[in-house]
Amino acid sequence: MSEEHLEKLRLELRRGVLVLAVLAALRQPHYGYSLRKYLCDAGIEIDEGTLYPLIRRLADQKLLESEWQQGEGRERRYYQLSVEGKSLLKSLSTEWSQLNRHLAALLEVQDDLA
Amino acid sequence: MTLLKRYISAVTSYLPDSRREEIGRELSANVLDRIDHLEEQKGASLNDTEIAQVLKELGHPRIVAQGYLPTRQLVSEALFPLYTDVLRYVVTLVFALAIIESGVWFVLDGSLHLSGALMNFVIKTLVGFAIVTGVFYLLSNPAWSESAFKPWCRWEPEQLPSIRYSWQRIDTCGQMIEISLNVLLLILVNYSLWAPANILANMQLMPSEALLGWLGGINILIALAIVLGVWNLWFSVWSSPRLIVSGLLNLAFALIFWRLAQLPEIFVQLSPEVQHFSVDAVHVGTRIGFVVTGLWLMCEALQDFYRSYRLYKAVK
Repeated sequence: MSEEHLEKLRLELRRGVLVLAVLAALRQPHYGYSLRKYLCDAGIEIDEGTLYPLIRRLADQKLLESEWQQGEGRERRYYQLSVEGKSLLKSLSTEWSQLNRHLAALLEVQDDLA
Repeated sequence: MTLLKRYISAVTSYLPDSRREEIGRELSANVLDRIDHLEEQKGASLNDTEIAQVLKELGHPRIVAQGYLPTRQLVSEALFPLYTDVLRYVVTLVFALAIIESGVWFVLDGSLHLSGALMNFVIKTLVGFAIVTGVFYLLSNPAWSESAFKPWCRWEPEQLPSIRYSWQRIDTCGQMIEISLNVLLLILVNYSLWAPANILANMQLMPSEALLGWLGGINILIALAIVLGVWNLWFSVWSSPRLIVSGLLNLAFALIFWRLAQLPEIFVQLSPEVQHFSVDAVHVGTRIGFVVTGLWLMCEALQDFYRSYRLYKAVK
């Protein structure tokens, strides 16, 4: 398998969990850049060009609440989970845990076979 | 105007009016945060080159703006298989109609107009492509939240055709072309009935009486072939009885072509001096053409009978 193919599959795999990561991070308020840093520190690298539109889409879907605040001499838009967002995060977390458990078991079997 | 303002202006130019200010303001704040962070690391202000680098990392304004817009596809993934099917049928239909149209023009003014017919076909195909794509764009991006058009949502495994051999499946597009070729043949063999008097008066050769004597039988066979073609379009899987009908038609055509090849006279010379070609050469060419076509049709007939036999045995 070529590096390019591997990279494509890796991106596809990560893209699926980005929403979950962003929702989880926004249990506490963040503005765009601070959210990116927070995710980056947690090991989830995400382009700014991907993250900022994603936050807007989640806000448009009423999953996030936002508020403009002044800080360090500049205005920033802070985002945080809405009630719907919290409920969705709970459902997605359960789904993710189950999937992760099943996948881990599957990968363990594969490792044993190898 | 600073680089950042130019960038934000470029991004927002691709956004709807109602969202420009809000997204521009937010994006600007985010980029300024990043610049602040880099300046902190550097311990000095960023110069224009470094700011340009930050903006390049963010992405081209068109791409960044696209991220804020709802995803739109020319044709959605769910409708794409149907889209390609419809396009194939439309192009085939246009091609089939172009074949018949060429035949009609040939009869009306004695010329094939090949370049005109080709151009006509290309233009109609492009128009067909544009219309089909437009319709599928509307279906893929409905004004309401979800597309009500969902092809193939109601189907039952029991309704799928029972196919034992891959050759049983009849290609719809191939069948449409075959029907149009039979219509063309019908127009051409009855040339003397449709052609205007002035063209008939200037003809150098005419079919002989003996050849015209076969016209009725040939017309009936072609009409039957057209009916079989339509039948095949309707039920696009070969069955044993239909293969026998097809075999009998091919056999009848083959025998007629061989009989025509044996006629003492195929064409009658009308004008005393025939230009551009020799009458004998036309006779020889036509006879060879009839024999070869008869052979090919005989092979088709034998294949139909053999396949019919195989299907019959398999079902038994």
